[in-house]
Amino acid sequence: MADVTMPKLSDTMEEGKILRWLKQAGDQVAVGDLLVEVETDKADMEVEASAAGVLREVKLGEGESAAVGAVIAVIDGAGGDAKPATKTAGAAAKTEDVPAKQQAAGKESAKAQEKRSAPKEASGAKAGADEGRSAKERQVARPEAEAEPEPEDPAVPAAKPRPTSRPAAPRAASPARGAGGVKASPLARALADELGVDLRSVRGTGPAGRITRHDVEQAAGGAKHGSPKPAPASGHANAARPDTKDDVKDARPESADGDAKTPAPRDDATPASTPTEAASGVRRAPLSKMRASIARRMAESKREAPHFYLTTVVDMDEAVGLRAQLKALEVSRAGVTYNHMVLKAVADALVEHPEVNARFAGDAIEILAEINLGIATAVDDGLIVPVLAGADRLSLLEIAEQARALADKAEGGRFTSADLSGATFSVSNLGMFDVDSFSAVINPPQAAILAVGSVKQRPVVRAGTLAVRFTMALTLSCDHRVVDGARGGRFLAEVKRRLESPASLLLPREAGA
Amino acid sequence: MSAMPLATAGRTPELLVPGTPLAILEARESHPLACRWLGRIAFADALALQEQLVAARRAGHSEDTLLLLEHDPVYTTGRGGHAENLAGLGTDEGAAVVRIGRGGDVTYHGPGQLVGYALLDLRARGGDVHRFLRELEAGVIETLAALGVTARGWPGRTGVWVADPVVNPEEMDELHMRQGRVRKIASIGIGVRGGVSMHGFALNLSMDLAPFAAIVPCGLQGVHMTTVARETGRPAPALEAAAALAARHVGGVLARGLRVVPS
Repeated sequence: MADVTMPKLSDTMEEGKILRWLKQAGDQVAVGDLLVEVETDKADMEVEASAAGVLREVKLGEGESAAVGAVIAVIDGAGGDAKPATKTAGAAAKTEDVPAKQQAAGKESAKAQEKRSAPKEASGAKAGADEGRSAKERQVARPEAEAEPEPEDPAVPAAKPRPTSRPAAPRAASPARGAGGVKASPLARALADELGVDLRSVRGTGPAGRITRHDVEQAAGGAKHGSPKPAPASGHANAARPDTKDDVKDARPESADGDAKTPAPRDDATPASTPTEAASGVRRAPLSKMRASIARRMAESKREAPHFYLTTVVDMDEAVGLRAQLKALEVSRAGVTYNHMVLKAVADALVEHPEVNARFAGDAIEILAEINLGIATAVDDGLIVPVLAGADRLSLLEIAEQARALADKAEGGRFTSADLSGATFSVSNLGMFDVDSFSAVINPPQAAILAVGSVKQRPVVRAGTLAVRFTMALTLSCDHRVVDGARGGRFLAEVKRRLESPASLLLPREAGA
Repeated sequence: MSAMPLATAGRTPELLVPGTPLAILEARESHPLACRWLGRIAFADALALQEQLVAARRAGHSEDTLLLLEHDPVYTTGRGGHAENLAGLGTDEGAAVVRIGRGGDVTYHGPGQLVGYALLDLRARGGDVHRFLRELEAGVIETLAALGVTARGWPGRTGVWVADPVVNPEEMDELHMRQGRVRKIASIGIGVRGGVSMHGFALNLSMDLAPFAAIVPCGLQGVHMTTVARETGRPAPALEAAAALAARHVGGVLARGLRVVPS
């Protein structure tokens, strides 16, 4: 019995995709027979069997991928009592200078293959099958190829696969190994593996006692800073990118707690991290990863996206009242803030005005189905934008709780990639700094950002007389390539309307005003 | 533009390979690489020739060969290609769709595109397929440089790309691609049959890009294709002249190998 494993066809190959099986379960397989076509990167490789017998089991279907070294099929050597065909194939394979024999052997296999391949697939594979058996050299010096089948040998051209950094099986097995019945997030498990933390000794603080990454870091104690993959702290700007290619990179903007001042361990290593006193009296503070990222993305935004700004003043008297009532009722442990109300109003208004929940894509405007709100959040060395995903489906109280949880995470620097990616619209609030109003820079590739000022009593004219009301200024920055003034204005008016009639924020969406 | 069969200068004069010899490059470990210009040739004919040459190469009856040519309009897709990426194709597009044994998803070939098929015994070169893909990229990038276009590879997105100057090459991302600030100028996809490679690259010299609009090229939603002519703002050189450059540069990289393989 020989396991056929995903071959390593390149030093840089980590996984491969099965394109098609050239043998099916139950087929006789000879050493050197074309067994399967594997795709890695942009290469489509025929892979030969290096064991003979009956293909007992095909573990990976066409179109499925597996890590290098993972078992993709099993060849049962017992069934493979060296049929003549096998011998012929082997012999032909070895002696390249016997083309006649080779052709004969080839035809058989080509025929067999034709039966299975879709008629349309007129391709090089057939020609490949013709001569496939000669392709022996790659099989790392196997002079005994035509001798007895070697059930132990995996059908891999390269050396026997050692467990690689991402072996499929061990990973799959790890929940079990992770100690009987321990509940932990995949991230936490991976981290525990890396830091050598026994999950059984960790107390989980997640939902239902689930162990989170943070718990593992805590348990690892000083290992906090040793967060194994130093985080390029490009969190902020990339945070807002819906494309999540570099999520992992962005996932930990500032490593663990207390790291905020000196973002990533890697930065710590550079003397650059500390401002240096130059002779001229200029203090140079070299950019942290986060600062560099902010600099790049914000400059890109101002350079590429033509901004315009719309400001409106919202009468917040009713909202102040609602907040007081909710507080008195103690309906939410988290407490509902004005910003939560703004988030809710924005989410609902985006449902009504999907053209604002969009992005510029070169030759098209893409309207996004998901409404994911980025919440610009200050941290010590800059800001990050955690994301409230699916905000349109959340009630005000759910928004309050989730936004609070995100803020807590921001403080602790404990973000997962999901927390920072995919925002479609952002809200930035500087009200707590007593900023009356301001204009924010759009976070590319989003089309707009709402800047929220402080809520306080101000003189206003109501019904022809001067009155004192709670007001709040909202300034919408729009990318003119996506949103025109009228559209932006309608959207902003909708946000204002909802905040001025805050009961609408409590209604389920279908009933929403 | 001769389609006249000519004997190669290899060790086995009995095998006739059509086309005009462009160069014979002495490769490492003394495997010569013959580069030939075939002119315009139907996809099916070129495929048959490739299969013939692969078989011969495997049997030791021919040397490593780089075929340079131009196709009649045709859509091809790798075996791993997804049907939905062809969804935009009407029934009356006039171009055939051929499913072939190379890596990668759907692409288009047509007049004004320089196609290179690299039929090499990879076993003699260590058999590392990714390395081979990187060598093809490097050769195409050199060729483009000779044509006045600065292009680059994109780790994880095999092929050759042109980026706007504002885009930091280290940070090319999906959005840049969708916005057309990073554009694809050459596609790469190979098959390996019994240790011998086939297929190769397709470099857009000066061609109508409209046929790409009907498909999702390479399975990359939102990708923008470009051409040498577009990038330089000048008419591109004749295909045969570009083929001569490709013979020198792609052939050169394949012959000497990459000294440093970009990680």
